[in-house]
Amino acid sequence: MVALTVALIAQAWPSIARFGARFLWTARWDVNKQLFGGLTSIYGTLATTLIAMVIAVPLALVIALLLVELAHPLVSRIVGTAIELLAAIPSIIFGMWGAFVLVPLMQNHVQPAIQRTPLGKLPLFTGPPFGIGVLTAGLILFLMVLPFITAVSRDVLRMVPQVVKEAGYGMGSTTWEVTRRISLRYGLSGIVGAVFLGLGRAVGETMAVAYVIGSSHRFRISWFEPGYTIASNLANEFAEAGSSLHRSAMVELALILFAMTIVFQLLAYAWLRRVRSHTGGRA
Amino acid sequence: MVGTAMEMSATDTTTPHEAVVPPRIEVDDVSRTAPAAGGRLTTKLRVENLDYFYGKQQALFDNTIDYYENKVTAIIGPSGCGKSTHIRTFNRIFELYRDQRASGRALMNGKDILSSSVDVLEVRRRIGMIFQKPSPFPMSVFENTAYGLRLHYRMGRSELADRVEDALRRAALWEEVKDKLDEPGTALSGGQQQRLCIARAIAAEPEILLMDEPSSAIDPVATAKIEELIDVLKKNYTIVIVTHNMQQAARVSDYTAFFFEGYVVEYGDTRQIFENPAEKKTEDYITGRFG
Amino acid sequence: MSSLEGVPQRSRGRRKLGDRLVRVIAWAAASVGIGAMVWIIVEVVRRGAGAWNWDFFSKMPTAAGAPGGGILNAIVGTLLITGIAALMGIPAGFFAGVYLAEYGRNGRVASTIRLIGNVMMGVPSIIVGVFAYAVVVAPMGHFSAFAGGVALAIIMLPVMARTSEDILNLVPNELRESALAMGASRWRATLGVVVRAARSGLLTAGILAVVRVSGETAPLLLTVLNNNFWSSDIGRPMANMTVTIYQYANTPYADLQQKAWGASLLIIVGVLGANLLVRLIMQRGKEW
Repeated sequence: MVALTVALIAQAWPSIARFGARFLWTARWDVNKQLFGGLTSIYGTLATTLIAMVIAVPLALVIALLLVELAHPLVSRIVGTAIELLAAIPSIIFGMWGAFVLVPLMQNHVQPAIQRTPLGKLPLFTGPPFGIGVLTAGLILFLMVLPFITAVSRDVLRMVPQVVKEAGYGMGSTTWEVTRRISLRYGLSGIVGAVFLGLGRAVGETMAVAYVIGSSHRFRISWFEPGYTIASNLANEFAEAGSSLHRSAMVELALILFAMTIVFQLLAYAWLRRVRSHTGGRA
Repeated sequence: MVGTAMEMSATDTTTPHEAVVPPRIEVDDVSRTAPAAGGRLTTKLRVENLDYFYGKQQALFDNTIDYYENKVTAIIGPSGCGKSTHIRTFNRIFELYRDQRASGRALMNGKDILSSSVDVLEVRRRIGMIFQKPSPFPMSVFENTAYGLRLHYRMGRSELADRVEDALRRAALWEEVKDKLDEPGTALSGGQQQRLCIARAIAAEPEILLMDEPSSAIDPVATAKIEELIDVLKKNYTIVIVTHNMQQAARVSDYTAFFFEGYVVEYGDTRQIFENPAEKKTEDYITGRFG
Repeated sequence: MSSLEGVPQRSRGRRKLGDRLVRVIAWAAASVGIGAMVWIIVEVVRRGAGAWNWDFFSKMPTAAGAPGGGILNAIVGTLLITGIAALMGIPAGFFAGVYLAEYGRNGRVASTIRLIGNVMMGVPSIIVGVFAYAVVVAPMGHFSAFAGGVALAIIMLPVMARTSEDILNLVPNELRESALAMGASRWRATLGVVVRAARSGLLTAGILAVVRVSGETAPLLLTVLNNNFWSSDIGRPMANMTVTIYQYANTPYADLQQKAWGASLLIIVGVLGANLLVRLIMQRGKEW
């Protein structure tokens, strides 16, 4: 692991030396002119991850609630197994489905629909609807991250002692009230940990994103526009990188991604290890 | 003087007693306050023909008991006899579990609270429960106490704060926690946690307080405090306490019901039960021959 | 009587409505998850089944654009590359797991190793690919199946280590103690008795680790690339299913795209089949 870090840094050094901090916010990626800037890829990584997590976390929590409190045990098991199977599907298959099934759907139905609503005025949703792009990638990512966060949330909710829940119900709370005010607070650190782990996986997801992101270095804010994430950039260009500077730039990107993953992971474990929160204070 | 007929159901005999206004119970080690003015007995909760099932297995058989307002009724019996199950039917906490059900009636203020036409949230607002294991919520002392109030009512911050302080005082906890209101409820000692749960329950002014072995998990000093508390609380609430500790039942309660294997074997005035039980089984249990 | 007589109550109806709303959302969310899974599998089957014929499994690819042919080289290649990875990753992971379970119960060293292992499991596979590129491909000067194997082994290692440790921890302590009490050395007790007891669990751990990496594409893109011809030289690029899928899918040829689906179907069948196999073994394994 240490070897990995060292190797990455070594390979990235020329690029770091050449471009410095500007790398982080320039978007220019010109192989001919040997000018590289990582902004597009970084933006894409952050945007797709954001989309995925914003949708996945609430849904995962609510599904976990269903699995633990609401559904008949048999139904729970079936739904639980289905979600686990979703987790086992390799990323490339998500990519195939994304490219051939989701993209046409986005192109023909979803994106035009969004543009017809007031949301379409936002700079986030402008541009010709081709179906590919950051938004689509975010949606695929959401499907890939969902099972994972659901599983951890479910384990967290299961750990709430039955007495405490009964006390909550005994006071006259509805199921949702018990969950929101008691169970979620009880397992808060576990859920935060799960979110960070999900973040770690989402930023690094490669193939599914590579299929639908559009592979463009041009920096565009709109989520309908094609772009790049660090991971998919590496997948597409690394093998054919011409010059060593080109390659070095990509390794620098890899280093950034690596750093992000490590940070998320460490944060996750820091939260997961905390003794269950006994939150104080006055709401 | 109003008396209600006290019924006793036993496995083999049914001998109704005519109620006399019960004399004050004098038990040796605890001094008692004067009886409530007038000594009227009204039934707060009347349980009729209560049966209870875990799946196919029946756990309670034809329980019928009158619980009197502003009195403490203890339920005693060997483990597994159905004491906890019995009181857990009142606030319908069993509805959380798929294969558990109850049949029969439980009449409170004239309405059958077991029937599905009565809103369970309302039932639970009027009936508070203290569990064997102290179970403070994962929030501060203040928020724990305020939970019921926030849940059911809309009120301003200062009124809320006043009521929280009042509840904590009535639970004899205020002095110990008034500087710690923002600390997590779980940071308190076991006995304090249990009193916190009591404060939490009474803050929302229920009519009946159910206590399921409230002091079995805490130390004797804390237990004594809670018993004192019960004596004070009963002025405002009707209390039903399940306990496996007979001495506690004798100290604390006005009426006692003896359960055995899901049946109500004997029910009556605490003094009478302990000094002069009518049923042999009761006597055997009290004298420690089993259980 | 209650001092709360006049205080306005929060609408119970509204509270229950909120509760009901959340339930509806929960079911909807679950449907989304299940629906997506079903949809994906259905599409893969639908689009991929058409590609499955005898040629698909037994022939080599034809020239681009020309119909017919198969992906035999890719299938064999994936098996080979995964095999190389397994040879390296499984024993290493297994021994790491043994160390953590048997010798490293409480030490700082063990906890650090565990933490590193967990973090490594979260490292994106593409980054592992970059690393493998740097240490194998670059020195060798060209892509190779071996490099791919290395990359996959690195991915496999922490997974195998963690599941091995978990499985070994399930073996009751009495077993260990009785072996030691009979005079066996620590090492012998471990290998002989404990591992034996856990063998079905360890087997499933191995299978799962292998299955997990067989579907990886990204690291292979950077280490093995692909090969349209037959190759069994592990020092050279080799055909493999996942990269083939990616490349075919990106072509404009419907025939190749269908083959990509066909290969996807094969992978899904493999993954689900392995999961089923694992479940069977776990059932059977209960009889030790």
